Amino acid sequence: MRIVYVVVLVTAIAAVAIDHLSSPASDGTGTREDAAAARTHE
Amino acid sequence: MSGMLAIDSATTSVPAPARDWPFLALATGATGVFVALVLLDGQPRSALLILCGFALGAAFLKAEFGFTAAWRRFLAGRDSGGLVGTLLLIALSAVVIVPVAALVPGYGGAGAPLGASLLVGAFVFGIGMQLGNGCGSGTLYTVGGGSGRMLVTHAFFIVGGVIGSLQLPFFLALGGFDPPLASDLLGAWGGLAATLASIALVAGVVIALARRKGVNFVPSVTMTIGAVVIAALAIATFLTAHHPWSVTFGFTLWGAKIAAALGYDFSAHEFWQWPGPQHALSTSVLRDTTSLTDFGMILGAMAAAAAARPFARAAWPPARSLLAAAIGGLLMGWGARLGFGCNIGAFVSGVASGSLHGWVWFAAALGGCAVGMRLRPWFGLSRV
Repeated sequence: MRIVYVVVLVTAIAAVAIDHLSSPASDGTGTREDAAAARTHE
Repeated sequence: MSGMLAIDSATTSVPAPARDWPFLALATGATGVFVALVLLDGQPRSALLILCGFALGAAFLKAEFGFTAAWRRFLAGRDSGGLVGTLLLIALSAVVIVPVAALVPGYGGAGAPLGASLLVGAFVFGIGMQLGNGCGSGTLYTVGGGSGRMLVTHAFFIVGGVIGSLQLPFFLALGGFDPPLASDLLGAWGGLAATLASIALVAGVVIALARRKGVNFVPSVTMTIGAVVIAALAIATFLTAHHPWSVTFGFTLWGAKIAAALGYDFSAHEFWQWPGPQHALSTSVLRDTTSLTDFGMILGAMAAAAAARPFARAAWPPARSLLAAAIGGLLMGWGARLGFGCNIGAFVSGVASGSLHGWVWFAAALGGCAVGMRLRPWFGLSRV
């Protein structure tokens, strides 16, 4: 189980870092869960 | 003499709790990497959200604060201690969330429409809670705590969330209406009074049910301390993010990002064309406020677990239990999207915002839990 954890964690950390570094620079706005209700709320 | 020897022998044979340095280093190191990335991006608030999540993960783990078993104990024998602890957390959070959301520009509460989507989503989520053995926050902190079973639940939670996101527009089209927040009707302080009164009313009902059956209705000291600490951190998260704490949109976003990386095109799906989800999918996951606290929670729980004992040493559970974890995760993910969140995003944050949808979510999810409890023995899980 420890090996599974290490593989999952290292993969996830790398994926997050790659996603972050390859994304456009921040426009200063965050996103939020109840954006799921965007149709009715935003 | 022999008795003393026996005591000495017993004392020396108990090993001291051992820190798991590799996992402690991994958890704190990953947290440091994420904090550094958002700081380099000029987002100090995002760094604070990661740290809030980190503290939440540690607090949940240490207090063993959970919804799933507490709701099961209430449904099975009317033991209300866990439910009362949850209501304490909500009431403390509401004291800040209701007035700040109403009075301070830039802040908002958690609201969602009442309709078939909410009812179906929350009910299915409740079934999933009992099969998956956790809710949104429970999944995060137990995954962080080293549970292999919850890794399975979490993976399928993510898949279910993506499927739910594709179907949410259909369920919303079935109809519903947006209830006003209590503060919209009664003003900031009147709304707070109404919110606290509603919490007191529900607490009174569950306590009365417990007393009638002669069972416990007082939360444990650990749970009470946990509720106070978690409420303080939920408030800190709200003040930093400018919206109440939520969990499950992050899971859905991670799944969509993975699917998009594998070549799936979300442009034909209405949900992912709405401003919020579209923005989240097109920018860094570290700019999604929900993901920031989620990452922090997993890593905080992992750090707390690894600081206290060897990490993830337990054997994998039986296959039937893993099947329940997969089904439960799938149902929770799907239900969370249709029901506008989980125990945190919909119930805790909804009620603490003075939104009626939080109570409707609670009632529907409790009904789902009752069904899920009946299904648990099929998978070799205890009914209570």
